Amino acid sequence: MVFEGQVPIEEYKTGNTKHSWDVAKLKSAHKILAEYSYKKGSVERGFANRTLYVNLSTNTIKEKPVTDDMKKRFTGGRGFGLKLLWDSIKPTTRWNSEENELLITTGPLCGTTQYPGSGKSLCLSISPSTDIICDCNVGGFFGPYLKFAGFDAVEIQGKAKKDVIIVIDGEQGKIIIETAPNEEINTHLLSEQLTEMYASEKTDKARQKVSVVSAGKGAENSFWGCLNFSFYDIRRKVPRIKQAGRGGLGTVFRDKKMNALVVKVEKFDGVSNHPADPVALAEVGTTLHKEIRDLDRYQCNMRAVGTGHLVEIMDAYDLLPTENYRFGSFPKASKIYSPKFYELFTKIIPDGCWHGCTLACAKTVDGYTVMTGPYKGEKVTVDGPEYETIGACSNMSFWDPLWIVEFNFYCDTYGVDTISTGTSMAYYMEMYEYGILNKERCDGLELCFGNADAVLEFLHRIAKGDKGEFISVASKGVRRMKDWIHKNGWGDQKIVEDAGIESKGLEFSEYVTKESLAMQGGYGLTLKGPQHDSLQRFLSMSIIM
Amino acid sequence: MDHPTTVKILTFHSEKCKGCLECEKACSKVHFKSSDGKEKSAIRITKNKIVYHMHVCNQRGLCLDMCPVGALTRRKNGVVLLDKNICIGCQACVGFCPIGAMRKSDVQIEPFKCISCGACVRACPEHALELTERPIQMIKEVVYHNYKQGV
Repeated sequence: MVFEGQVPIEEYKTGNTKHSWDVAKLKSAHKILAEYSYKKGSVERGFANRTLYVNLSTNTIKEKPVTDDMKKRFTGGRGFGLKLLWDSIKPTTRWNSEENELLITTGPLCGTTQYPGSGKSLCLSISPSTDIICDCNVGGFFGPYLKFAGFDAVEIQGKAKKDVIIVIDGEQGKIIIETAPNEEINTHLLSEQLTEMYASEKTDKARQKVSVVSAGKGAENSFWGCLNFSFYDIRRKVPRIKQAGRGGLGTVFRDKKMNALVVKVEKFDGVSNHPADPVALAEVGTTLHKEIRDLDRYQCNMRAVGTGHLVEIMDAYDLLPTENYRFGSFPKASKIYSPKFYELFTKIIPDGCWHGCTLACAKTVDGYTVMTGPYKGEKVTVDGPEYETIGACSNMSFWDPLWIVEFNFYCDTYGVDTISTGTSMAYYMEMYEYGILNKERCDGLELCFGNADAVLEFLHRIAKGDKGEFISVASKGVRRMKDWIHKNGWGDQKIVEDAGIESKGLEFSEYVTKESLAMQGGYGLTLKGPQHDSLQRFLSMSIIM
Repeated sequence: MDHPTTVKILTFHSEKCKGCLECEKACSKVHFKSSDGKEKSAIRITKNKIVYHMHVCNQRGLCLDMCPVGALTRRKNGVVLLDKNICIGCQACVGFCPIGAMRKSDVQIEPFKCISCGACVRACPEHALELTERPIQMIKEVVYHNYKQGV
């Protein structure tokens, strides 16, 4: 048995395949397109009081002030994002228009280390799936570091001609746009390269002060692109990732020819965002830490298995989506209950995606041997799977935890959203089962329920940029697939329409809604499309009413 | 790397204690250059009806795994030490210490803890405190949640 505190930090081993990059050579190929120096400021009561604007078409970089009125009206986070987006786009702007922006914003509490869950940032853009504004919140170090580097938000407009990296260097007070011709695109390698490249020293402590936002090859070729926010783990010695998944923000990112967005901070401490009352904040935070310590193991068990604990609950309440939402529970579901993942997760290492988040729902499978595709045989650290990913897999009828981890790994590194991919694939599988799609119509893929091989093959083909008709339609999600099936006149129109679980063009997240009218209404009415974080507002409303 | 096998921890002879709190004052001098004691001291003496109790770190090192930035390390002499320059003040170690021995004072965001320096031992006029060498392996075999909260 391993006791806590027995292994010193330097001696943790993941067993991953080691990569060595010639970082200097990679960097020497970079060409600086624009450089901007700014005066480093301090954060006052949670606000850095300015935002950063970057235009990739014209290579302009400028600062915008955050006014008191703006703080009062919009608070931060999504509010700031919507305001900045509103000011920049026109009614005719579409996801791939020049003036569409990608925003990453933070709120006044962002970067608090004492209170669990304070590392979140918000990402906004016009979504390719829905053509309306979509927002996602995400963990990782980027949001807090952006604030400590001196900005409450970053907005990126325009499109670059070649792959570029934007570097926000909080150490020297510089913003740099540079080309990145030789870097990897897929996240698990790219974030490793860039963390190494931009860390000021070759130490783990220095690497921990860098965060990289990236998307992969899959984001480029589908509408499911997600943004991967890195955070360097000093014990595992790898940059790990959290995803802003929904709505295809990664697709917008790659459409702008962004390879990565890097932020680096000089130093920070527990009061870097200068709260008005740090003593009270520390007290409240400590109380919550204590409650988590005493109660989490009896309640959600987040510290041990993360959101995966929901699988058994959903299965028991008939809400676990199975075979494209046809069932809410399944006899085989016990194979993917959280204890099965607990066996795979690496233990006794703090897993929080921002310093001090003791709820620590981000789990990893270390030294996982990849089973398919271009990285077959490599040993990697896989972040997750979380509930939504497991739900997406049960929706496709995968009942083997290892295939779920494999699906999770490739979705992450290719930069595609596990929820949209899972829900869409489940729909294609149902259509396949009815004979509306078949092997010939699916470009040779045998999409029966549970065929994990075919799903992974599908992902690899997307990443390779396969131009087959099925692949190019299918990678744009359920809505486009319905239209394509209608156009070809296959099957019964009503079945085709009803079986595809989407609203506004965005696929449902992984909850069966039949048990709750409020949930159904919520999914249909949420502004950005059916997503559980917007849904909660409707659920709480239904309780009040 | 050689791992320490023993560590010096404080042992308390409650029958000798008179409750003068000289140990607390000495401790706060080490940590904060003030002789306030109380919340600025890593060692705390409380009186439960007639018996005095000591609350102090037992160098078990559960907090080592809580620290997200690696500010807590076990030194060569076995003592668990917090590096204030690395600490980012998240209070995870404070909240998760099973015996409440990781302490936080209002004057700084970084917590502090007993470093087995022996200042309290030297300050005690009754010789109620003693530093004793213990195998680390034995300290670690403590059941996590049977502990009572400290002060």
